Amino acid sequence: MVVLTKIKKRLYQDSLKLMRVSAEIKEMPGIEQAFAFMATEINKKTRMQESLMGNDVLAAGSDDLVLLVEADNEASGQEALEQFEKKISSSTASLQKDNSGNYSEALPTTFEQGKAYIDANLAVISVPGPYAAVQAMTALSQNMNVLLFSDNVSIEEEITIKDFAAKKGLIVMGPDCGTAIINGVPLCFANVVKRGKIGVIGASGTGMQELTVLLDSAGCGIAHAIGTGGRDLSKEVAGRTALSALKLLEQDPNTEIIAIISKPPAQSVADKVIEAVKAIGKPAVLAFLGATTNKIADNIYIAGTIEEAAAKITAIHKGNNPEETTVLYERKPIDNILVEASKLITSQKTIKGLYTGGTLASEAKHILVGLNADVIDLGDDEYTRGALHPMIDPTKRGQFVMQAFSDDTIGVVLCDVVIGYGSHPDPAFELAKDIKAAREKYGLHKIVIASVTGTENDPQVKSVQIKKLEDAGIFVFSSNQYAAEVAKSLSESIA
Amino acid sequence: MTNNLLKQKPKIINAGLEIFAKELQGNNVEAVNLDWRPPGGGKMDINIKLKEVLTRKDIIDAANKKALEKVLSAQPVWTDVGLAKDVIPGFTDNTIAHAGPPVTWEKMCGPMQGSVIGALIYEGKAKNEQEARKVAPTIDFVPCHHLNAVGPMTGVFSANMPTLVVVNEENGNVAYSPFNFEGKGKPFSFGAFGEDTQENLRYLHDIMLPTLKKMFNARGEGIDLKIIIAQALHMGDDCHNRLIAATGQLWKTMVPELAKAGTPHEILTRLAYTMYFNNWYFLNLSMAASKATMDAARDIENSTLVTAMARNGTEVGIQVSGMGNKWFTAKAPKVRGKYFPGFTDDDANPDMGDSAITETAGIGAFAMAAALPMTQLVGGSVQDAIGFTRDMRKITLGESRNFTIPTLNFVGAPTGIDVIKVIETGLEPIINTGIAHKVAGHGIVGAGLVNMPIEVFEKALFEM
Repeated sequence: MVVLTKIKKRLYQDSLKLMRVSAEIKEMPGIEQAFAFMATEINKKTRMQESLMGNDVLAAGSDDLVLLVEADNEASGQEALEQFEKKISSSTASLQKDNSGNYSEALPTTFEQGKAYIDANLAVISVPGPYAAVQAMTALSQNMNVLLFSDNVSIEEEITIKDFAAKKGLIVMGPDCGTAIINGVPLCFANVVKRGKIGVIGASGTGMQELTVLLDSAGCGIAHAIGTGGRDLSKEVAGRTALSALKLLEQDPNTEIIAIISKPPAQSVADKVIEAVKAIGKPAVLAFLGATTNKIADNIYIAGTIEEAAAKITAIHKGNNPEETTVLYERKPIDNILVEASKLITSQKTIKGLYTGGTLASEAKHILVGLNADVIDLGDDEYTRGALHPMIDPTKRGQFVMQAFSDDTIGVVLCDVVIGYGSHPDPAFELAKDIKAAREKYGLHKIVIASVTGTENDPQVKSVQIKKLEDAGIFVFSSNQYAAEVAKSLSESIA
Repeated sequence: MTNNLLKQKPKIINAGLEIFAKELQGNNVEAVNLDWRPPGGGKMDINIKLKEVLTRKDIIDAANKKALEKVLSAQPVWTDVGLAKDVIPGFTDNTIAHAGPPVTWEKMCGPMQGSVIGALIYEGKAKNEQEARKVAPTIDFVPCHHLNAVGPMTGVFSANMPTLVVVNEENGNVAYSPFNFEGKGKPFSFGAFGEDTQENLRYLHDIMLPTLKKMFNARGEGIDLKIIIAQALHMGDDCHNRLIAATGQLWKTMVPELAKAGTPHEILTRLAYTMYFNNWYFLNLSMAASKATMDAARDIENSTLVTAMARNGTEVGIQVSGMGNKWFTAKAPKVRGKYFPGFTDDDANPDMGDSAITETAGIGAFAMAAALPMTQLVGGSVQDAIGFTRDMRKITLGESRNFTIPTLNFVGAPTGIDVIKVIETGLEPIINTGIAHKVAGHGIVGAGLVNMPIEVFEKALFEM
């Protein structure tokens, strides 16, 4: 048996608290007795066994705290003294854990307070743009990665935030990043896709959604999808997030194939990204939308469309030759739609694209370029000011559908339906309802073409959405590119 | 540090659209939604500045950690008494100390001018109010804080007034405060200067000062103030506006020492009655202890910890550790008060006194959850009192290891106000205070609550 003591000079503690902590220490293995007490004369003379009283305890004053243990051996005694100190110097309760309910903290208001509730490694920020940069900085200083959904963040702010993140070994997805999937968890606007070995980096939200759902439907799973924000690959921001994301995917054992999706980046940035991808050595497909298909190294390809990227990745995944693969879905004859087209009156030569997803809209624009087509991105600032994004609230598209049906120069209406987390709970129902109402009101024949960006596991369920669209006489295709190409064929036949 | 983003299922804090947090929670992801409000009340210039400051957050955090440790480890001990001119370096015969940031005679509020008049009469520099008003412009007015001192309400004291000496034995710095002026007559510290008040000042000088001096000489060591404050917090004091338990504990400590020092029976009797009637005696010691504590945390480069909050009845201000002795000031606000019979809001002087040094050090209104008997002052319910302490946890850097709060399961009092946290949350530090009559010489009219305005924190932010 050994008796060990420690004197904490001038540390007043309430005696009942000391008794409670003492009882806890006494339960430790190898501990016979444990006492913590203020070294008042009364405590020393009348509250303790004389055998335990060393000279140091005798010398301690009434303001001093004594920790004393009697242990089987020196080691367990020292261990107990350490625990003693810890328990006494740390506060005994955290407010939020108080189970009486009365005294618990109100909801946390800052990231720092939030960290007391949960050891978070990611902050999702969707506060108004002018405040977004400050929130991102606070989250980063709390050692959290950031998904910055907010837009209206200046390019200077974006660079400051990203440089600060790099200094801290963290990553900023965004600003204006609407989509990410981290370890199977869909964030903001994202779909429930199979887990797998493809690591995606995307500068566009719906582009990344379309790519991940196409891969999912081809049986290829996603390791992670990391958003960068639309400006990341610009000359100014210089791929700061994309390059950090590549590092993360390089070290990620689950990622075996890398996919990048973006508008064609500034040349200097494209070079850097390609260099980084080559250095990693994992097979990769860079979907630079609108760029020319190219093989730039062994197992590294540039694809011009989302579907082509999905096809090439699938080929790599399945051990086929990606070079020859450009589409995921074989294009079938559209005789049934051509029959419908023959019912249009001669003035109906225009294709109207009414899109909720930005990248999907620009993909359609690209395919229909030079034709009599007008594609509108209803998620553009011009239409969202003071309103919710059309992927959340499709009311705005309803109005445009009505307008399109009243217009006898329009023959074909092309739409996207984006489902998954974040999106409207039943966008197909809304679109079908709008189309039916417009048809009833104007009676004029129109062809409506759409695709559904989503999976069977999304809360809205892809097949259920498709059925609702088809029941409303809408022609549904397996990818946005496919749908836009059909519109293109029609345009040629009705011109 | 390697980034763990891809290595685990994400744990998320959401700020902004609540739907994102709800969907995550529905998807069995650990997610907390913040009750987010724009920092700085949404003002853009503040957000821009805050963002710039946050790029240095690592350096600031390290500095604040150091500053906080200075505060938490302080050991204030009452070691001595003496005349202001003898114990306080730089205190001359022509000095009059006052509360709060610097202020000129012309700009002083009524009660502070009243105390100055009282001090000039006490020092023999004037016979009456009229003469005193003539002499006043020739006096060197110095904020107590510039002399390492603090004084309640007007904070006024002069060269020949008895002074408490409190040493921070951990850090070696010294703080001062005049004796508590409650007693016969209206209190001097609330601007009273009449003959009753003068008689009390003379009693403190002639009787109490030499008696206490003898007591310290005989005892040979000081009186630990930290332990008295810690005990008093467990007995319902906040150690700013309620000091009954602390005064009792102090007196309990002093009686045997006074007896041992051979204090004559009639003097001991007189002192005993002073203590019996004055429930606020400990205030000046609580303040000096807080001052000795906070001064240890001064001048730590890059620290955003507030080292002083003080008010002179005209202006209020703060000082910040990393920003030297600069004051960041605003117009003194009105106190939300409870008034003695016959007085109203109209009689009240705006906020005044150095006593907010207690809140700066984590006690006073910050420890309101410990002072449940004060509940009536702060809105009526025990939950209100607890709410104050809970809120102040959101703007402070840490918790006291010594001052604990029974109603909150003995968590430490929220300690060390951080300018950045005040800006981020928009929560203004709360202060318990007495209220002086706005006219010189009329004394005390009530007590209440007041906040240090956000404006002073914004001004400090802009100079970071």
